[in-house]
Amino acid sequence: MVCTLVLAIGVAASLGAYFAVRRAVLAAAGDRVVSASARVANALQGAARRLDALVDSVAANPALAAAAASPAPALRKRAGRVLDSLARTAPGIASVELWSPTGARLLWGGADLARSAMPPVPAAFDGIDSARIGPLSGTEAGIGYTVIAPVRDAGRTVAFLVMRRRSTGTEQAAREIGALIGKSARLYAGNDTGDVWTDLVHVVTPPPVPMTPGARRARHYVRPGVGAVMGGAERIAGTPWTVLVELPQADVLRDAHALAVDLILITAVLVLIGGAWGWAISRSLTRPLTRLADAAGTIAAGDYSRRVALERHDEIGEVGAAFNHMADTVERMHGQLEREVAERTTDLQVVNRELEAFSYSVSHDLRAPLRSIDGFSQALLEDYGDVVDAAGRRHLERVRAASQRMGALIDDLLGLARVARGAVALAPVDLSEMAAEIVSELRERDPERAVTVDIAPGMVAQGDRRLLHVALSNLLQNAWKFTRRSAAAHVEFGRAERDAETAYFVRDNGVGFDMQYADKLFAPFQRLHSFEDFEGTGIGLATVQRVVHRHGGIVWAEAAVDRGATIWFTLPGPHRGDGAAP
Amino acid sequence: MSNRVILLVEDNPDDRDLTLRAFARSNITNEIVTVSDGVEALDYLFAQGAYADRAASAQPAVVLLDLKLPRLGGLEVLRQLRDDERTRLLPVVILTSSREERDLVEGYRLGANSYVRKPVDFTEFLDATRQLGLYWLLLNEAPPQSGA
Repeated sequence: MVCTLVLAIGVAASLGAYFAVRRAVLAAAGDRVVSASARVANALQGAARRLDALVDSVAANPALAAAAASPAPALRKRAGRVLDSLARTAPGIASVELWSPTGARLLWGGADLARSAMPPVPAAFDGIDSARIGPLSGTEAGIGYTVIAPVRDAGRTVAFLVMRRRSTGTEQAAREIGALIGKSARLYAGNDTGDVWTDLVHVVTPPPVPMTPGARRARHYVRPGVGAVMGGAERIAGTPWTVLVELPQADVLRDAHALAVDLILITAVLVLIGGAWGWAISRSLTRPLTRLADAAGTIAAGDYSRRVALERHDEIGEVGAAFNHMADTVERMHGQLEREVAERTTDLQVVNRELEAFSYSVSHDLRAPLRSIDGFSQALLEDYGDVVDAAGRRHLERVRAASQRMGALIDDLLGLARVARGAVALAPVDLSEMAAEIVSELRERDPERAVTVDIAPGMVAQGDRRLLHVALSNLLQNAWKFTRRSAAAHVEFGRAERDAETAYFVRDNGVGFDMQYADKLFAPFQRLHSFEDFEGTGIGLATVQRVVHRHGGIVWAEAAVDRGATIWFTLPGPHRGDGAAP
Repeated sequence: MSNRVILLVEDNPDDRDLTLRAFARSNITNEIVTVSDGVEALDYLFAQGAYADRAASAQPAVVLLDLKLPRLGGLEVLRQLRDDERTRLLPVVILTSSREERDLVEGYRLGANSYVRKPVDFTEFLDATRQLGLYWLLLNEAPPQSGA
C-alpha cells in the first residue's frame, strides 16, 4: 500500500521531470533551427547579392547591347563570347542567353539547350530593372532557377540577359550542409510562395504547415520518411526563396528519452530502497503485535503458559509486559479453577461411589432380613399352623405383608435412584407400541379386570427407551390401579398440542384426587389415598417426574375427586435443564 | 443324574435354611451341599483344601451362587470357574438379592447360565426354587462329567 503510493509518486516525479526536460530540449532545438535558418538565409543572401552583381556587370557589357541592336555576325560573335565566358564561371550554369524584350531568344551560349529540365524563362520580363533571381523550378531531373538582368543601351533596356542555373548539389553535399548546422539536421530551400520545395537536389514534399518566414518560431510537423520533425524557416532577402532547417524530433529527444529512462531507473531503485526501509520499520511495529495476537490466540485455545518476548523500551514493550501480566493472572486463575473443579469432581466421584455402594448394599442387605421375616413367618404358618389360632395367623400374615411392602419400597427407591443415574441415550421410541406392551402385561397379571384402553397410534418420541419405559409403566399402572372401582374402567394414552408444544397424557376415569393436593403429587412417598384403598409406595410419580425432567420436559396433573385424573408430560429433549417443574 | 448334588454357596444362614426348605417343599431330594463363602466354594469344586479328599470328578448338577460373599465374591468365583478347564461347563445359577443391572450384565458376561433374583416374598421364592430345581435337575442335559 505504502510502496504503491511511493512508486506512484516516484513515477509522477519522473514523468514530470521528463516532460520538463523534453520541453526544454524542444525549445532549445526550436531556437536552434530558427537561428540556423536565419544564418543560412543570411549567408545565401550574400551569395545572391554577389550573383546579382556578377550578372549585372556582364549585362552591362556593351557587346551585348550592340548585339541586341544589330544582327551583324561580328557583333553576335563578340556577344556570344561574353555569354560563354559567363557560363563558364560556375559548373551549375546551364546556359546564358540573350533575349529580346518581346520574349524572343537572340543568342545563347555555354550550354546544350536541348537538355531537358532547364529552368523555364518567364513569359514576360516586366519590371526587371536589375539582376533578379527567379523562383525555383523543379522536375524529376533536377531543380533550377533563372537570373535575369536587363541589358541597357543609353539608359534604354534593349535586351535581357538570362542565366539558367541547375542545382549542382548532391545528396551527400546536402547532408553535409545540414550536418554543419547540427547533428542530423536537414536543409531545404523553397519558393516564398511555397509551390516548390527542394532538398537542394530533388524536389521534396512541401511541409504540411505553411512556413511563415521570419516567424522566429519553430514549427512541428511530420515529414514522410523521417517522422516528427521541427522546422525553422527564413526568407533569403533579394530572392523569392526561403530556407528551411529541419531537425527530427527523435534525435532531439534522444537525450531526453535517455534521461527519462535513467530517471525511472533511479526512481525504481529509490522506491525499492524506500519500500524496504518502510517495510523494515512497519515490521518492527507489526511483528510484536502479530506475536501478541498469536499469543492471545494460543491462550484462548487453552495454552495458558504462553507469553510474549518483547524486549523493547517503548509503548509496544509496555503492552507486552501488560499482556504477560494479564496472562500470568489468567494462568493462575485458570489453574486455581481447574484445581477447584478437580477437587469438586473428586468429591462428587467419592459421593457418587458412596451412593452407589449404599444403594447396592440397600438392594442386597436390606432385603435379606425381610426375606427372613417373610420366609420364617411362612414357615411358622406352615409348620405350626395348628398351634396358632386364627388371630395369631392373621398377625403372621400382617408381618408378611409388611415385609413385602418394605421390599416393594426398597425396590421402588432403588428404581428412582437408577432413573437419576446414567446418561440419557436418545433414540426414536414408539410410545404407542411400548404402552400396548405394558397394558398387555397388566392384563396378564390381572386377568379378571375389564379395562378399556385406548392408545393413540404412531406416537414416536425422541428419548431414552429404558427411562421412558419406567415412566410409562408407572403411569399406566397408576391408571390401572385407580380405576379398580370404576364401573366401566377406561384408560387413554394420547397426544395433544399444549402451548405450541407436543404433550402426552395418560387419562383415566378412576377415583381422581383433589386438585388442592396436586403440588404434593410428584414428591416421593407422597400418597393421596389410604393404603387400604390403593396399595403403593408413593414413589411412582416421583420417578415419572424425574424421567420427564431428564428429557427436559415438564409433568403436571389435572383431576377431580371421583372424576378421574389426567397426567400430562412433555419430552422436548435434554439440555433444557431439570427442575422446570410446573 | 438326579442323584447328583446341588452346591449352594450362601453366607446368610437364614437364606440358606429358607432355600433348603424351599427345595424340600419342592420335593427335590438331591443332596444339597452348602458352603458359606467363595473360597470354600472353590475348594469344594476343585477338591482342594478342606475338600482335598473329595472325588473331583463328581461335580454338582448345578451351583447356586450368591454374589455377596465373604472373602471371595460370587463374580470372582464365577470367573475362576470359567477359567478352569474342569469347571468351564459347570452349570452356575446366580441367586442373589441384588437387582443391580451391572451385576446382571457382569454375571452373564462371565458365563453364568442363569440369573435368579431372590424375592422377599417366600411364596415367590418357593416358586423360583422349584423351577430352578426342575430345570437344572430334570430338564437340562448336563455336560459330560469332566475326567470321566
